[in-house]
Parts: sequence; structure tokens; C-alpha cells
Amino acid sequence: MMDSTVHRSREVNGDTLARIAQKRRKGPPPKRGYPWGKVSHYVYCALSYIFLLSPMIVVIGASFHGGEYYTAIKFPPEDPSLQWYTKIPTAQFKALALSFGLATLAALGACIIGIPAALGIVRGKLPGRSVISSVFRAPLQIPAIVTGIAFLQLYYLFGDATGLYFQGTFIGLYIGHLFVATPYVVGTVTAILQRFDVRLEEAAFSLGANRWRTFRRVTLPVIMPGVYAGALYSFMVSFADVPISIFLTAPGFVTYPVELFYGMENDFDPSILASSSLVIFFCLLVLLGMQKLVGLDNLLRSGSR
Amino acid sequence: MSRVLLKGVRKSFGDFVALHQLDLEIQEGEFLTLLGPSGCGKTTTLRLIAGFIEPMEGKILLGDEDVTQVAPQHREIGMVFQDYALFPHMTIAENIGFGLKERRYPKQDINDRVEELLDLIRLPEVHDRYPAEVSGGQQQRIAVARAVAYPPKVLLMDEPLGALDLKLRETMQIELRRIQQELAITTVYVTHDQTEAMNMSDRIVVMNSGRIEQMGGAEDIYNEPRTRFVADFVGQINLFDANSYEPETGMIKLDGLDQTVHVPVNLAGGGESLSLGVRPEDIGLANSVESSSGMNHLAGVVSGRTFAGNLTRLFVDVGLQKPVILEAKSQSVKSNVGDKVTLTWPVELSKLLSD
Repeated sequence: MMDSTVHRSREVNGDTLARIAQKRRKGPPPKRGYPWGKVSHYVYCALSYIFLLSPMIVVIGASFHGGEYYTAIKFPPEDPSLQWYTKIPTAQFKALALSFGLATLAALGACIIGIPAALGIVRGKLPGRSVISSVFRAPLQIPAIVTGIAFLQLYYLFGDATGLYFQGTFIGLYIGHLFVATPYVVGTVTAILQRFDVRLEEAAFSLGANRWRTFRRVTLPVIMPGVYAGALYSFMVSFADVPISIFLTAPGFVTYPVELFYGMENDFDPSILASSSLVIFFCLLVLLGMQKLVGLDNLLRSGSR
Repeated sequence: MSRVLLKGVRKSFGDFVALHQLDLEIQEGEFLTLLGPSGCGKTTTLRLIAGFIEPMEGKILLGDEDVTQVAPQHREIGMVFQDYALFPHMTIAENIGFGLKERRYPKQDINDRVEELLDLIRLPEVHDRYPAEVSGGQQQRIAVARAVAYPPKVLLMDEPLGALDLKLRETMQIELRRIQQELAITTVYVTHDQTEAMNMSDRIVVMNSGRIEQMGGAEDIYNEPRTRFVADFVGQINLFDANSYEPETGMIKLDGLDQTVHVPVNLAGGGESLSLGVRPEDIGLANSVESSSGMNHLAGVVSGRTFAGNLTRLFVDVGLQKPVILEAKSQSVKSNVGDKVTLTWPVELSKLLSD
């Protein structure tokens, strides 16, 4: 019995080998042909870039329109000039300043809440850890417009109860933005903490550093790339937000995207394109600066071990 | 510099008992190695001394001080990790100076000490580089320098050479031993590599499933293993299941073979489960079966032969499941596969082992 099974399995193996041998390539190996693979790779990349960049190109291009007043985007621009750049209304600059300050503070606040939260989620031994981590993700899953309405309702309720109305105030707007910005920091810092080598902290302890000093001098610098990434996302989310801000702003107290939104809705003119182009250039500069300052350098160093 | 004392230390993780009632004393300036397979409790012991984990029972003393309840940052220990755990965002100098800076020494003192240590580890030019920019062996030495910058009461090393290749490991063994002796620092070293343990240690503690199997100098452990585990873990050995040791005559019977052999008389131990151990290098080939006193004999057939440069191994089938391995200088081994041979070894090199 034993013998026969052993025997049969050998036969099967022989068959497989014969079949493999049969299908073996015959003749010399094929020569390299025209590199279609490479060509299609480049075409694919080029199309992706065009898809991603074309809206910006159109906006920037159309902002240089120099012709007469018109109510639709003209691309390519006719008779290029900078006239619309001189006609940006001051309300837009005011709104830009508000948005910039708001986004900076939102990113800062998101770090102050998000870093400890991520530490707790990754390191903590609380029984409801997975629940807590999904609570911190929740703001990303709620449509922003719902969040906006919810905050407005909340502020009415709170105001009716206490007499303090937050809608249309900076604090009210800030809390709403913090709500959607924090999950980004929690997410990026959680991700980097999961790869963090706990022995770095043990090494610091063994060298006489207490918990706070260890966090300050070892943990925080190593997770810094995650913090920067999260802060950048939070900034962007806050800076670009319309659906929440539209409920929480008030006349004369308007964020930049909401201001643009009203502008587009009421009386469109290319000065909106001009100010948008300025913001695009500014963002590019900031991104390049960050990349130079902290991005590459930091990521490389903390990644290698 | 100070001695370390562990008294009745017990530690378990959930249902897994990592250490049963461990008692261990490490002398001042001693290089002690905890040797054992993974899961034997050696790393747990080290982490208990460091204070990263707390014992469920027992006491840990550094010098005369009971540190059982003291946090690691107040224990004044130095720790070297397997993958070094150098701070990636700090330069080599900042890494080495970390402990001194934490203890608020003036900058000038820190700089001087860092220079001194870079000289000690023979890497004076790496100062301003980052850990990722130096080689594994260099990171290793930097980790040691960092651990001893503020002279610790005890230096703890957790498989520090595990990530290096064989050649470098051998150089580093000598290097670590040199640094340890130059600083005369009490050291506890954890490894699963018996060669490493034997090359470096003053004393070796062989551990197995949370208990100490045997301690002693490298030669004691190798030449006089007390248990089957120690004999098998430290060096190569042929093990025979055996029974009925007679202390007066030194005779024991081998299981599965119709033959008795001799071990030294009046050994302690005995009991039911016994093993006979013989090192491959202690076995020779006899010309005839004539019994000379003081020698054991065992007949068999050569079933395999491997060449390892200076040494050649013969695998001899004596009628047991596992072949007996014999090791000799290559030029002296004439037998080939299929030859009938008689194995012979001195009675005093036969090791009686308990389980």
C-alpha cells in the first residue's frame, strides 16, 4: 500500500516534468524589439500630468487676459496683460489673510491634539483603542456639508442655552476647522509611530533621560516627518474648505474660498483668476521651501536604520 | 563599577513563564554571558536588570542599592541593543554625548569625553556624521561608546553582534573585550552564539526555558557539561541515551545497543534518564577490537564523510538512528564510506549527562 502510493506519486512527477519539457521554448531566445513598453510608459505619464495640471494651466493662463470685460473664462488669453492683477478687490486680500491665519492655527491645533492622540492609539493599552482610533477617523467619513450644518445647529443650541453664539466668530470657525483637520495629523503620525523602533526610547531611558526629555529629544524628532506631512494636509484642508466655512462665516468675516465662491456666484470677473493664480504660485513656493527645508532630508534620515 | 545581584527573580508574560526563581550574582568588573536559545529568558533577565520590565517577585540589586522599583533612567546603566538603536537624527558626537547632556554636564566636558571615547573605539573622524552614514561595525562601536560615556554601574549588551557578518563579528568580539577590559566595566552580555560566549566571557551562564542550566568558565562548560542540554548547546557532541550507571565500576548501558561502555567512576548523578556524551574530536579509530584499559570501543560502518578544510568529519553508523560523528585532522582520516571501523575514546572524556 505504502509502496504503491510512493510509486504513483513518482510517476505523476515524471509526467509533470515531461509536460514542462514539452512546452519549453524552442529555438534561440527572441531579440530585443522596439521598446513599446518604454514608449507607452512615457505616454501614460504624460497623460497623467496633463490631466492633473490642465485646470491650473487654464486658470493661470486665463488670468492674463487683457481684452475687454467678459463673463466667461478665455483660454488661451488674448492680448496678455496684468490688468486683472491690479483689479483684485481688497475683500479678497482680507479673506486671504483670514484663511491663512485660520489654516496655520488649525494645523498647529491639529498637531497639539493629534500627536498625543496618535501616541495613545499606537502605544496605549486602553481596551477601546480601535474604537478611539475610528472616532478620530470619523470626521473624514462625514460629508463636510453635514459637518458644517451640524456645527451651525450646535452653535445655535449652545447659544440659546448660554447666550454665547459662536456662529460667525473666529472661535466657532476655528473649532469647525480643527474638527476636520485633526484626523490628518492623527493618521500620518499613527502611521510613522507604527514603524517607530521602541528601542530608541529605551536607549534614551538607559542614558538617563526621563519620559518628557525622551519624547522631546528622541521620539518627536524621529516622528517629525509624519507631523510635517499631517500639518501640511491639515493646512490644506482648512485653507481650501468651503462646505463648513460657508455655514460658520458671516458677512464681512469670510474665508478666501468662500469669498471666491460668492464672487463666482454673483458677478464673475477675471480678477478671481488673478488672485487664484497668486495663491497657486505662493503654494508652490511654500511646498518647494518645505521640501528643501525638512522634506527629503528628514525623511531620509529617519527612514534609514 | 559594581556588582549586580538578582535574588529569586520571577517573571511571566501572561501564561508564559519567562523566568522561574532566578538567582544570579555578577562580580565587579566581570564579563558575564547569558547563553541560550531564543525564549530561554536571557533577554528577559537583561531587560529586568535594565529596568524596562519589572519582576513579579524577587529583588534586583545594583551595588548595594535595591533598584527593583527604580525606573531605568535612574539606574545608571549602559545598554547596547542588537540593532544599536542609535538616534538617527543626531550626529555621532551628539549620540555619544546624549547621556552626559541629559545629566547636565557642561559642554566642554561633554566634548572632551566624546573625543576620548571616539579615540577609545578608534573612530576619531566620524564626529559629525549621522548613524546612517557609517557602517554596521562602526555603529556597533558607537553604540558601546554611547552606553559607557557616563560610566554605568553595569553595561548590558543584547546580542550586539547579531547583525554583523561572521568576519566582522570575530574582530568585534576582540574589540568589545578590549574596551570592556580597558574600562574594567561590569558587563552582562546576551547571546545565542556559543563561540561568541566562549571567546569573550569570564563566566558563562547557560539558560534554558527560564532556568539556569549551568554556570562556569568557558572550559568548565565545554569540558564538563552537567546536562544533556548544555552539552548539546555548547559545541558539538554525540549523545547516546543510556541507563543504569554503576558508580563503583563506571559502567553504563547504552539504549538500543547491546553493549556497555565506561564513564569515570563515582560521578554524582545517575537516576533514570541518563545520556552519554562524547565530543567528535575525542573519538579516534582503533586498529583492532582488542580492548585496552581506559578506552571505550564501538564498532560501526562509515556512512558519510565531509571535508571542512583542516578537519574531516566521518559519520559512522553504529546501529542507532543517528550516526556517530567523529572529527579529525584531514590528513589523518583514511577511511571511506562503506569501511568497517572501530570507534574508540578515552573513558575520562566520556560525559555522563542528566536530562
